[in-house]
Amino acid sequence: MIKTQLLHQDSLYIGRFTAMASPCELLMETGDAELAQTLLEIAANEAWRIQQKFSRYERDNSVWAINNSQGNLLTPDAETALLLNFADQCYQLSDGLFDITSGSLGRAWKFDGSANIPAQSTIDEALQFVGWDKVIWQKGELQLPAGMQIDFGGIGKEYAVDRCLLLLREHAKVPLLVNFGGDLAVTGARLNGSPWTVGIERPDADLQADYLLEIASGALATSGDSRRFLMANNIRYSHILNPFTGWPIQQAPRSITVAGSSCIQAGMLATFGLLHGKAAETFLEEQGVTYWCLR
Amino acid sequence: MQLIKSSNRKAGPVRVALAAASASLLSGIQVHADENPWLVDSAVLIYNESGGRVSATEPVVSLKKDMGDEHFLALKFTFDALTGASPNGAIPSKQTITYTGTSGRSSYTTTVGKLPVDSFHDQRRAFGLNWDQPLGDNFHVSIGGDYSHENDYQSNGLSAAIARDFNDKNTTLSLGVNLEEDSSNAIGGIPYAFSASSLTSRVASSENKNVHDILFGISQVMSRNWLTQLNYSHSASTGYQNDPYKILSVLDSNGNTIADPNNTSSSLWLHENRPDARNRQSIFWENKIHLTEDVIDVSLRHYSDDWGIKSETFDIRYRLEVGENSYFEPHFRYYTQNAANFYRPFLVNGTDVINGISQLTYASSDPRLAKFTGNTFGLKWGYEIGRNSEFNIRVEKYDQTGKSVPDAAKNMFALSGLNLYPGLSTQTVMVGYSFEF
Repeated sequence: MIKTQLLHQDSLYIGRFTAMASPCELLMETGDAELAQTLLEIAANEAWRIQQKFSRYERDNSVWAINNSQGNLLTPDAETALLLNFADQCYQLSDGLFDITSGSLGRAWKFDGSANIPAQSTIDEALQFVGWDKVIWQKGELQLPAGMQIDFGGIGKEYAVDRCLLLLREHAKVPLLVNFGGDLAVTGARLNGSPWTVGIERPDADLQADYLLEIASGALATSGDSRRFLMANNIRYSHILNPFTGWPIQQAPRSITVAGSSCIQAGMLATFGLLHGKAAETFLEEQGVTYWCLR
Repeated sequence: MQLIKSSNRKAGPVRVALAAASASLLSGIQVHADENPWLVDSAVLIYNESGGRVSATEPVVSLKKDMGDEHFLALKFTFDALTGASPNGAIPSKQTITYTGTSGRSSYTTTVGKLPVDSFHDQRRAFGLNWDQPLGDNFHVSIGGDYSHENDYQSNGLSAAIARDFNDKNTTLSLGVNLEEDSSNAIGGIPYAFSASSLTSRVASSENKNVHDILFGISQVMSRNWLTQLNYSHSASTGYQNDPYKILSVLDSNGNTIADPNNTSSSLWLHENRPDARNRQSIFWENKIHLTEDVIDVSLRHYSDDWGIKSETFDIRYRLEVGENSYFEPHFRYYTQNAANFYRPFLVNGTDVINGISQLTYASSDPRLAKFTGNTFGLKWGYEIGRNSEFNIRVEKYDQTGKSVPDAAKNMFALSGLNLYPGLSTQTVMVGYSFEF
């Protein structure tokens, strides 16, 4: 049963629900309970809408239609087209490391904290169906070769945060913080002009937030392996896969938190950081990004 | 507690490209068609003077857009439709009097004791364009042009301003200049100074004047809640300053009108004459104070010019936030001025006028040059609909009073009991709606 929960704490209303396999939280600085409930519903509905539409685990949605198109030409709807454009631009900017067709590798890898590393032959077989360069995406038409899959998992949550914030802003002029599983964005500073304080979760301790940061504008996104990984031979395999080798990226930081003007930009910068593995910090420094890396 | 280090390095290409890509992704769908929308501010002003004298409806639309990087383009359109009657400078009397209109064609009568007024029907269109942008890290420049056109008056202007921030943007110094050229093409042509209103010959069909303004300003953030601003401005205007429609009554020592020597069946009225130049100065001090949620805006202005007019203005507004989305703003303004050196409520035959010829160099009975006090009371209510969208309505009442019996009229038998100052009482309703697209 779909459900939301609203609490009142100090001068904030806190809305909670679950979406995209993450705990989602909406902090609202208002004294108006009815408004808080309305805003919570708007946010939850938008998050669920995006989840329903773009999750590869749902049937009969936009992504399912693409993944089951059997190599036929498709004209995706406007919103999907925009996401495909964004994914395409990220593919170019990352020199191919960010690739939404690497979802096919999901057949080989299951990141459930177990020790089940797939066999190389399984990985090689899966690699045949990976590569955005094999996809035709132009003039609004998409052709995904049969057997290939796309996955918006690396974009979806941050996109949902930004979309929810936009919708909530349309509705009310109240200081807000939207946080979907660690990817968050704010409308601006709090009512008295002070920033929001956010704790950064340490990857191995469970719920204790050791690091506190202050945010008064823009967004924060964290990429890392704290919740999805494989552990075998004392090696931790993160869930970020190299689409060329089929293996998880080596020596990536355990987590990277990036500040950006939007959650989607921050999230993508964090992902790019992880994709650089050992060179994550160098890459982020070169780009002049505000970040925090934990190894 | 460790904090994220804010990066001081310039944004790298990937970061910039991602910012652009993200913006495209988010701006694409439904919510906002444009990252930088046009902000529209529109309002309709309905203005009414008591006694049904003048009424005006004025719609104004202004558009502003961030063209990127804080470069702003603003456009403003105004359309004014004014109808009514405005005092022509002649004084009321106990006899029924006739006037000829400036074109000599129309003629009108007034009833006894009521203020003589001149009727008009005027439409005015105005258009303004402004460009605003930062220059380097600390400077800000803006340039603009204005054009206004009505049947018998055109105005063109150019303005430029530069401002510089200091002290972490807590202090701003600004300098602005404005050049304006106005052209008066009175209906019936421009009359000769002090000519009788019955005279049909004219100096010219139109006359011009130029105005040069310079303004210095300093604004300072005094504390988190208090912003103050001080401006000094100087304006020099040369050219035709007269109002081609205004006339002065010529009275004998009893207060009766005298006959026009060139047209003995009618009384004598003379067109006004003002100096060719006018220099003005003003000092303006404004404070905005932010209380927890409400805002107080209070200002003082001192003005003086070389026509002898000095004025003081006190203005206070209190913005009271109500609920999440709306506000009330009561407003009070007090204004007082003394008369121009050459202001005369009327001319006296035998001293000011001999044989129909004015003995004065300058004279005008325009009530706007007289000594008067005006009080404005207003209330505005606004409702915020969305992020850049607001509906508001403002109601204002203005009362102006001057000397109903000027000293010169004190011993005039024919004028006793008459109120010679055309006081003014107006009501204004303004409805505004701003939105973005």
